[in-house]
Amino acid sequence: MKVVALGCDKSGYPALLRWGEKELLPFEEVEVFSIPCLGLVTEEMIFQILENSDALLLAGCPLDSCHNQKGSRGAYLKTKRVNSLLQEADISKKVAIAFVTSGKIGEIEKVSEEFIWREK
Amino acid sequence: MSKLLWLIDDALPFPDFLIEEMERNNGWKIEVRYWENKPDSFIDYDRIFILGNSLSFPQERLSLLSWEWGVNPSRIQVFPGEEVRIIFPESFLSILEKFIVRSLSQPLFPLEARMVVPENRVLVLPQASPALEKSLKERGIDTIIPPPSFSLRREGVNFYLSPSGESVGAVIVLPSEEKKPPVSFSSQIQDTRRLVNLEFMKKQVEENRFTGETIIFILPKKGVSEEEWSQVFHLSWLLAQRDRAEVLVLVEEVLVAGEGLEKEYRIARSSGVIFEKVDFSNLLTQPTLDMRGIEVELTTERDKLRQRITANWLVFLPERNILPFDLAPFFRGDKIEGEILPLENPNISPFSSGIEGIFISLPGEEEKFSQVVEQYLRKGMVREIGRIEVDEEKCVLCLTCLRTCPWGAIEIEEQKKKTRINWELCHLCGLCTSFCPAHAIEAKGLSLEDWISVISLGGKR
Amino acid sequence: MIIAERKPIKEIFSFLVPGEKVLVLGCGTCVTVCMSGGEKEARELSSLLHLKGWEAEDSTIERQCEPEFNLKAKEEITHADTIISLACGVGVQTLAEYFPEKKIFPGLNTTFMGMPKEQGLWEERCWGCGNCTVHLFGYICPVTRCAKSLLNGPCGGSKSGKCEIKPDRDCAWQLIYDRLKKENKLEVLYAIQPPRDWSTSHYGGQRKMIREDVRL
Repeated sequence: MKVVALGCDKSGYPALLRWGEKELLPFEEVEVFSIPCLGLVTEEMIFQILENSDALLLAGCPLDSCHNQKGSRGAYLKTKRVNSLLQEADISKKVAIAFVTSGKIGEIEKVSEEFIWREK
Repeated sequence: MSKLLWLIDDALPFPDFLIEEMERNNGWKIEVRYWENKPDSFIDYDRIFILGNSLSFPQERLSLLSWEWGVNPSRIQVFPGEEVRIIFPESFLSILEKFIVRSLSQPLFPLEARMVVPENRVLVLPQASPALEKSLKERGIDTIIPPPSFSLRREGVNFYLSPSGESVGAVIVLPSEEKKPPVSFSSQIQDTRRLVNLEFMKKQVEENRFTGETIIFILPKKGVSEEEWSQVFHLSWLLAQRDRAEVLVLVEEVLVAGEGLEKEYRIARSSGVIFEKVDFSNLLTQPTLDMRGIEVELTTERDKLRQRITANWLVFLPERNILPFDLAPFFRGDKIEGEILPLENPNISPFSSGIEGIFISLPGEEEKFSQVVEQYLRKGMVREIGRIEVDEEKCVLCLTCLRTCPWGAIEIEEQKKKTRINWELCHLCGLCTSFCPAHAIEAKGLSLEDWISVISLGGKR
Repeated sequence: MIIAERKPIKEIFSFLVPGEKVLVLGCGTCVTVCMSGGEKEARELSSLLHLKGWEAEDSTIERQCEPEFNLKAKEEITHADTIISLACGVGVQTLAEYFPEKKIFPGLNTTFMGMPKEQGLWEERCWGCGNCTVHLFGYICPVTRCAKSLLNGPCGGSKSGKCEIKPDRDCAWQLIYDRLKKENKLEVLYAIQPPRDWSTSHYGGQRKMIREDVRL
């Protein structure tokens, strides 16, 4: 299963890197990128990424401590929307979003578990 | 012939033969330098490449570097060498070359990294407060008196008043607050005269002893200042230690003691004061039969036990709610500013309203507040001018971006029938770009293709 | 402006035949502003179609209700087997008028004329009755905002200011009363509205507007 992971400069990306350092990741392939803020993510980008991968994992600041106030929230709303469109269209790909800080990566693990279960 | 600069450090060696080969194959002139020996002037280079990793060079740092070096931000690129070396040790060289070719083929956007410093003057709304003015003056900041009628508009990072023509670097809002008890107390409870406030208790403790009595403090989760916390710790300790009284402090949320308060908290605890987290919604109070005390029924979060305690005294601190402040009468901005409240976001400076340059002063915290304002006015910030831009052709003036921008950095430019980004306020969060329904806003160099560049040739694991 | 909502994805898929070339045609005016059929949404839909195996393209023209703009996209339109138009009902019909031989399906359900109450929330304000008298009702149109279009006061069925037909909607007459009371103009309501001539509205048949002075 191929997963693309996108993290914001401030918290998501550092957290993803720490997660990536762990020995056993549940996916065959993971690509990790950084962007200045999750607020830049558009539905179009998400679809473009999904054309070449099975799932997208977004990692950003927690909703009430986003460095840009609403960047994480914007990405959260878009994730919800894309997932409901994908579901309506019966497409089995998925987008997940994890709210993390560079020190706390627990949610990434939790959220990626969902992907594993789905694959099974 | 393209002149390229590579900045490297010891972590990633850059073989010489590689340089010669690339120069030969592509006709480039490459200069490699260690950070400690970086050149004095950067303006001659077509591109400046940083060999490092994306983690150490977030967008913010790149903006700062482009300002320091006086170059167009789109000339500086980070090549995530760390990552590439780990994944593709064999293809490192060819990937590096492809990266350079791609960078050179991209257009240079007309950008500028600018250090923006607000004016050293503030406006206080709705009217000045002497305490605040004094505090600000001590830090060398002038306050201007709001004229009887004026309108404010944004000019870059500053605010401009009409018709007086003055400008200020920040606007400070003094909101009003409402106080109410943390728990509702019936009039009967009040009749016992055993329900008191902190001031009263402080005085009483000086004059009387409370030997063997039970005193309960009730603290709300919002609006208790550090000063008040300190007083509570001190009083409770005194009562427990000096008078051997039974002291219980009830809070709605787990204490997050500020600096310096940790010690006081521990002292209070070690002298026998009990601190309990309780759900106030099922806290009940009733006067005792002799009306000389108050019975308190509560459930502790810790062990979920329902307890009933008879207190001789109940000391409460009021919950203080800041009321939203309506900016509309003052600020004739394009965004309907509406009501603002302090943001409770630990990653954004305290007392922020969300709108850049508008601060909300909270009562009792003038010192800390003026320190924050001073920092804002002095420090200055590097902003990328031109990075996010609205395309006049495509903009339908739907105002989505205006309403979406958390910092208030977007205005309507009616002559040209489009909205415009105020680059001195723009934080590059990209929300306007991603929400624009007409695809009219571009974040130059920050789109999907731009940052999923090199590494998408393979995988990271 | 005109507000429309995207049809359920399943319904849109049901219009299509596997293997055909699909063009998703967005519109750059009203439906862009209410975020149902603009370039973003057109691209979204064509991506979904891609993921589902269709050969899909997207294009957005300024306004599908103008023949000239439709004709500008002639090439993409003729090239496709089926077109999903993300315009309002007006646009879909205009498109079809100029490309009568093509298979065209509406991608949106056009609903009402309204304004954004706040970001992301649009509310109906005008029904197009052809005889605007909002000034007689405190600037709140009872034709549109009252479910029964009553013109002489409430029906009496409202509960706590909410309409008995759609309990999550405000009772228009409550709003009218509150507004006029606030402005001290309640006497406006003493005027009795006679039975209205609805022939100016939709019920009089398809409407036209003519400006002879611009018809060179």
